[in-house]
Amino acid sequence: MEIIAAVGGGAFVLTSFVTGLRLLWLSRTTRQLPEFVLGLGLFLMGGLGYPVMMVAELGSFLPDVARAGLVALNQLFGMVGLALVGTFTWRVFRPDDPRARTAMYVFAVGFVGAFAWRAAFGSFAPIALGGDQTPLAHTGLTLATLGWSGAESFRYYLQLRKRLRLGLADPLLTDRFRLWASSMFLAMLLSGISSVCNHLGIAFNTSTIGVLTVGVLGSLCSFSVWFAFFPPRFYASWVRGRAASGPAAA
Amino acid sequence: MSDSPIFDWVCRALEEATALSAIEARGTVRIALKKSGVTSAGVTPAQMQVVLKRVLPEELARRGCADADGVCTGLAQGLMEQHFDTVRSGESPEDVFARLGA
Repeated sequence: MEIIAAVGGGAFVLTSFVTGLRLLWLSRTTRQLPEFVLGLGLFLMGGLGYPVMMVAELGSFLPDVARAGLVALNQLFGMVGLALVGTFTWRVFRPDDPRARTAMYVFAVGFVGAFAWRAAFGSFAPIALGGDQTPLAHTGLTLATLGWSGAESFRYYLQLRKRLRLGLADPLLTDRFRLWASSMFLAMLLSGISSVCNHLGIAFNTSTIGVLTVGVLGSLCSFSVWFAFFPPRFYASWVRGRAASGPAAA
Repeated sequence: MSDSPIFDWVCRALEEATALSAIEARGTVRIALKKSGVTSAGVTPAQMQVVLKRVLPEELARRGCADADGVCTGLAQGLMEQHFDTVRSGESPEDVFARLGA
């Protein structure tokens, strides 16, 4: 059972770490905001935040105060990372929409508020040690940010699919929007299940349901991100071949 | 977002070439663009050429327009002779995602 979680969690960490670094490296040459915010967001959330949380939950050899510090760090990485993913969505899909800008301000203020509230009135001790759950407001903002990102990408994918039938879009690029949307929806589902478990008093990362959820959804999410940004040659050929074989296939 | 000059030009030309009113012409072209996954604000001349050849004829025929193919061929030729000073307001999501892939 632990192997399933290790594969899912490990794939998630590795994918976020490598993809995040690659996009950050890309932003050094392009000097563009989207790759910078997305790269940093992935790097902080999955590449650093998730391993930090695992050490906090499982590191019984550490003093409690150190474990609480790691949980706080995880929350900070997650909060900043999500705000960066939200910024990516806003700047890429709705740069001129004042509603999207307002939503981003609400997300940012909400995340900071939820973190400050927990720091002031709760504790960052791991759930395994009877620590506080993530505030509901923070959970809601997390799900909203991931859901919004997935929805925008999926909406654009549907547009590109129509263009693809007329030869006006690239199959692999069209598929990238689908995969990114899938990864965001899977992350939202994983986050939602994790939050429900934690609010029911179940230590998600060490429970059976948590292990299975991380194993399955974490793996699928990782494959979606990896195939979106590093499509293997066989997969790229398959996507192009499928698009070429018929208009309905895309 | 406002409609592109390409969209405006095609709608005006369609209104002149058929018995459609201005509102009907704009609505018909808008539907054809939507079916093609293109917006009236961001459509490029190349995209509009494809829409005129492959999507709009069917929409016009559905509205009882005589010689829908001929009308669209005429519009496509007329569009080729036009020059539009289109200024893109930043990158499209397609531009960004194309850059992000390995």
